[in-house]
Amino acid sequence: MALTPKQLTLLLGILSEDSCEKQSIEALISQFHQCFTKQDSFKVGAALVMLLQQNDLLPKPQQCLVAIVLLYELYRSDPLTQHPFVPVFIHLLNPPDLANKNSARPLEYAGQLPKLSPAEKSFLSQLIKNGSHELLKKTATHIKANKNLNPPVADLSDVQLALAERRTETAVTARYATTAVLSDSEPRMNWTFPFSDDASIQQTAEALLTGKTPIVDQKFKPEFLRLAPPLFSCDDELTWLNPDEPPQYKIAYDVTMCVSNSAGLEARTLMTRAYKSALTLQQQQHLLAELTNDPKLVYHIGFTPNKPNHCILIFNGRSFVSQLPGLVENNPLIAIEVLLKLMQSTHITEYFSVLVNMEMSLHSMEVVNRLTTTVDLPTEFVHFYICNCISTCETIKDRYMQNRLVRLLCVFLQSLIRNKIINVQDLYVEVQAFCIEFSRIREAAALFRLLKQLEHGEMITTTTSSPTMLTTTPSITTTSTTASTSFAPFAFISPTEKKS
Amino acid sequence: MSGSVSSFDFGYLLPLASEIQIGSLQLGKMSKDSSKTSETTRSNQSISDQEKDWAQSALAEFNRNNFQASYQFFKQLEASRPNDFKVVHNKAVVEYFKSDLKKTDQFKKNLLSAFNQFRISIDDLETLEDVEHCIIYYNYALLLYHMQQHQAALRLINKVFSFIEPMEESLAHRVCLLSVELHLRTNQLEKALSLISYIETQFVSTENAMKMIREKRIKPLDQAKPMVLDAATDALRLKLLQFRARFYLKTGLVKNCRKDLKSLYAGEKQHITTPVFLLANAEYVSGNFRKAVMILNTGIPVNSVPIQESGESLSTMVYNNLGCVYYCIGKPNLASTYFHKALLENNKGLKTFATPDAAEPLSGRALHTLGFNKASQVLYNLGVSLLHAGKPIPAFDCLTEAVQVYHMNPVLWLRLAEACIMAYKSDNRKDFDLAVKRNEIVSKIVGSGAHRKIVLNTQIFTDIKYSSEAQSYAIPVAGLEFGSLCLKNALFLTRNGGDAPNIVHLRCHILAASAYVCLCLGDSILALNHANSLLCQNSLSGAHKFLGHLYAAEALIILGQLPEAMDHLKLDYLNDLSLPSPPQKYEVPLKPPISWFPNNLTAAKNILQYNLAVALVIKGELEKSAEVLKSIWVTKSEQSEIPVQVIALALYVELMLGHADIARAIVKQSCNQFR
Repeated sequence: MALTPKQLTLLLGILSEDSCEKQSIEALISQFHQCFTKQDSFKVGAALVMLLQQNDLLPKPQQCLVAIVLLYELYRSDPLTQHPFVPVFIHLLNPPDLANKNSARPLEYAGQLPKLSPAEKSFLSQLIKNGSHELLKKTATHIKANKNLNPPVADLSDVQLALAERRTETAVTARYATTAVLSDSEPRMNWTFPFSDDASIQQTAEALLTGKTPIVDQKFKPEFLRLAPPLFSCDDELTWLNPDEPPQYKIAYDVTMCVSNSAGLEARTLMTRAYKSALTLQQQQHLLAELTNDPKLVYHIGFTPNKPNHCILIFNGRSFVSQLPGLVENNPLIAIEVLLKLMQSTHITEYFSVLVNMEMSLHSMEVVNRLTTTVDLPTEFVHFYICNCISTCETIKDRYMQNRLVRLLCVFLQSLIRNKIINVQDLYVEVQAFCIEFSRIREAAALFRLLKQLEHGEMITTTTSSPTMLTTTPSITTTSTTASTSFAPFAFISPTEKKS
Repeated sequence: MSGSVSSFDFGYLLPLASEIQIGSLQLGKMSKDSSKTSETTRSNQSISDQEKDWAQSALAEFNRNNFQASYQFFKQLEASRPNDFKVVHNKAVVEYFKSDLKKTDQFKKNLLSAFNQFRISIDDLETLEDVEHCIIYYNYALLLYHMQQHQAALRLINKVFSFIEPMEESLAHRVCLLSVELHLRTNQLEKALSLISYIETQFVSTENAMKMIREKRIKPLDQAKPMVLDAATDALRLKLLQFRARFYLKTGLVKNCRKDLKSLYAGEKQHITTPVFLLANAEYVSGNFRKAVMILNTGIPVNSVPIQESGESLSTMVYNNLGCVYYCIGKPNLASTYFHKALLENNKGLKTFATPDAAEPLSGRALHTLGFNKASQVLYNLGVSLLHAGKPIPAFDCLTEAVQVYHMNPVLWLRLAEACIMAYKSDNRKDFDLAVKRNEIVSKIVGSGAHRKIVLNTQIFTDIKYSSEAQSYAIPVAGLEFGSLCLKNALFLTRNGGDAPNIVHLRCHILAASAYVCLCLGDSILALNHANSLLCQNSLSGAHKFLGHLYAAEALIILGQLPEAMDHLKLDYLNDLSLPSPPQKYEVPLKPPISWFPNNLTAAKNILQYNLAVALVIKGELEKSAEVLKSIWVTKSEQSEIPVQVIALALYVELMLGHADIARAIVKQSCNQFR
C-alpha cells in the first residue's frame, strides 16, 4: 500500500514551493481532491506525515502548513477523534521542549515534526476545532504573516483523552513504534551541486514513499528477544526394526473336524453316572484309563466347579453346588484322579474350596488325605477342612454318627500329623479342645497323647502348662469304648468297596 | 524347563494364574458349561463313517499341501453336514490356502459369514462360549495381526486364551505364541513375561512337550519333513528365548539376554537372521555402537530369502538400524542418509507386490506380506534425524506422513511443532554474531547531500513476524499456526499421563514450545498460562526455568502487567542452564547430544538484561534502560555474548531521548559502510 510514483509527483506538485506561496489554500485543497480519492486517504496521509517529519523535503514553512491542512482535509468529514492522524496535530500544537539539559545542542528526535509559529498554531487549532476557517481563502504565506491571529484557544483535552483510550487498544510494542528513517545530511563539502533542488527532493521522496514495501510503512520498535526452546530429547526414541518373521503365524485348520470323540463321549457318560452312583470296578478302570490317555479329556467331561462368580472369596462359607461332592461320595478314586489332572487348571482353587466345604464323610476325608500326600495342598485349605470337620462333629445330633465321625477325624488328624502335612502348633487350640470334648472316645485320647508327646518333644518349656489335662488323661484311657480295631480308612480303599 | 507335571509349586502357579486371568478378559467366566454348547454342534448330527473318511482324506491332502484335492472333499462334506461349524470353518481355510493365501478379503468375508451363521460375534466377545469356536476367533485375530491391528487382535486372543485349558493342544500352542507376540507388540511386557513362563510350564515341560510334538503331524505346512522330537522342542525353546530376549531388550535389562542371544546366535543354523538382529539390538541398547554397526554390516545375509516368502525386507531393516546408531552418536546427517536408503529399499520391495485392487485391498499378495511396509516407522526416524540435522522443512514432510499412522503419539506431534518452530527460527545463536549482524542495523541509505537518510533495519527484531495472511490452522504447512495445533494435540494426549518422569519431561517441552508459539502468534494470555504451567513443573531443568521466566515476562508486558513482568526478569532466577534430561531406560543414553544457545550464563544473563531494558522502555524509563544496555555492553569480549538487538535498542533509546546525534554515532560505529 503505497503511492505510485505518478501520485507522488502529483502530491509534490501541489506542495511545490511555488504553488504554496502563490495559490490560496482553498484552491490547493480542491486540486488535491481532484487528484486523490477517499480510498487513497491513508497512504496519502502517511506520505504527508513522512514529508513533515523529514522536513528538508518541504524546505519552506508554507509547504509544511499546506501539508498539515491537507492532512486534516483527508478525514475532515469524520469526527476529530476518529481522525487517524490526530496525534500529529496534538504533537504540532504541543511540541516537546528541545532544550538539552546536558549540552548546548538542542535535542533532536527521530522524525521530528516542524515547529509552528504561534500564528500557525492558532490557525491549526481553530481549523481542527471548527472544521473550517475563513483564512483558507488566503495563501499560506498570508496566514504565516498574519499577526492578528489570537493565541491558540481551542481546548483539545477531550481529543487527547480519546486518543489515550485508543492507544490502549493497540499492541504494547506498537505503541512505541517510531519511524525507521534517520536524517543524516552529509557535510556540506560533500554536497553535489545543485545542493537542493526539486529533482533530488523528488528522488529522495520516491525512495521513501513508493515501492512494494515502502520505507514509510516500516516502523522501528523495540521487541523482546524471544528464544526458541531447545529440541526435545528422548531416550530410545527411534524405532529399531527387528524381523518379525510373519510367516511363522499361520492360519489354523481345525483338525478335530468330524472326529467323533467316542472315547470322550463314553467317558462323559460314565462321568455323569459317577456323580450319582458308584461305578463298577471295570467302569472305573475304563474311565481312569481314558483320563490318563488324554490329559485334555478332563476339561471336556462336563466337570466344572459351577461357580456363580469367579471373584467370590473361597472361604466365605458359601457352599458351591457342584458335581464334585457327588463324585467324591460315590467314586472317591475317580475324584482323586480327576483333581490330580486338574492341578494345573487355573480353577483348581475353586475345586479345592468346593471340596473343603463338603459335608464331612469317610470319602471326602479319604480324598483330602490322598491329595495331601500326593501334592502340596495350600495349608489354609487343610486347616479350613479340619475346622469344618471339628464343627461338624460338635454339632451333629445323632450320637452314633457322632462317635463314628470323631473316630474318623482323629485317625485322619493323626495321619496328617505323622506325615507332617500339618504343623500341630497352627491348630493346637482347636484340636486340643476337640480332644477334651470327646475324651470319652479312645481315638481322641490317643490323639491327645500324641499332641502331648509332640509338645514334650518339641517344646520342653510348656510341660507345666495344663495340670488339669494330665489328670484327665488317664480317665480317657480307662473309659475307652469298644473301638473297632479294623477301622483304618486311610490305608487302602478297595475299588469295590461300597459306601456302607 | 525340567519341572515335571507332578511337582507343584503353588506359590508360583497361583499368582501366575491370577495374573493371566486379569489380562485375558475374564478367564473365569469361561463357559458356564462348556459341554452344553459344544453338544449342540457335536450332536446335532451323528457322524457317519463316510463323513469321517472324507474328513480324514481332506486333512491328509491338506497336510500334503494339496489344497485343491482337499477342497474337493469339502463339497461332499458341506452337502451332508451344512450346519457343522468345523466343516464351514475348514472349508473357508482350505479355500484360502488354495489361493496361496492371497484372497484375504474373501477369506475374511467367509469367516464373518461363519460368525453369523453360528450366532457368534467378534464384537460381542461374550458370545464365545464354546471352546470349539476358539479356532475361528484365533484365525480372525491372526488376520488382524497380519493387518498390523495389534490391539484389536489382542482383544480377541485374550478372550480365546480364557479357553486355553480345554483347547485342543496344537491350537493352544499357537494361541499362546500369538498372545506373547501381541503383548510384546503392544508393550504389555509384564503380561508377555508371565505368558512366556506359562508356556514354559505347559508346553516345554517334558510330558506336555512330548504330547505337543506328537500332534505336530496334524499341523499344516509343517508336514514337509518328519519332526524329530528334540528338534521341535528345541525350536519352541529358541522361540521362547527370542521372546525373552525381546522382553529384556524392551525393559532395558539387556544383561539378562546377551548370553542367551549369543547362544541363539551359535545354536540356530537355519534361520540365523533374527538372533543377529536381536544381538545387534542388544549391542545398540548397551551403547556398543561400533559393535552394533559391525554386526549389522557383516552378519546379515540380506538377500538369503526372497521377500515374497519372508514378507519383510532385511535390507530396509539393516539400513534403518544403522540410521538409529548414527543418530545416537550425533551424526544426524549420516543417519538421514541411511534412513533414506531404508526407505528406498522398502519402496523397492513394495513394488514387487501386485498393486492391490481398491475393492479388495488385502488381496493379491500373500497374507504374511501384508505387514511388509515399514515406511511409517522409517519416515518417523528420518523426520527426527532431519530435525536434528537442522532441516526442518524436509523433516516436517516426513513427520506429516508418519503422523497419519501414529496420530496417538504425543512425541510425534511435538516433533512436528518443533519442525514448525525451527522453520520459523532456526537458531538462537545468529543474533549473537555481532561481527556480521552489527552491519545489519541499517537496511539502506537513500538520497544524498542534504537529503541523505539512514533507513534503520526494522527486521533486526526478527522475533516478531505476525502473519497477516489468513491461513487455516489445519493445513499442514510448516508454519506456527499448524505448529500450535500440533502442540494442542500433544498436550491433549499427555493429559492423563500422570507424573511418570518421562511424561513430565515431555510435558515440559510441550509447554515451553506452546508458550513460544503462542507468543509468536500474539496470544499472550495462553502464552502466559503455558509459561506458568511450565514453571510449576517438578524438577524443572535450568534451561526450561530460564525460558519459563522469559516467556512469562514477555506475555505479562504485552498484557500490561509491568510489575509482575519485572519480577520474572530478576537475575536471581538464573543459576544454571542445564538442558532437560530425559529419564534413561538403559545404562547408556540412546539419544544424540543436543546443543542449544545460550549455552553459558553470560549470554543468558545478557538476554535477560536486554529484555529488562525493553521492559523499562515500555515503562517509560528510558534513562534506566540506557544504563542497563550499557551494563550489557561492558561485558563485550572476544567471543561476544551480546545480541545485536542491544545495539538496535540503544539506538532506539537515544532517538527517543532526542539524542539523534548519538544515534547517528552509534550507527556509524557499528556499520562497516560508514567506516
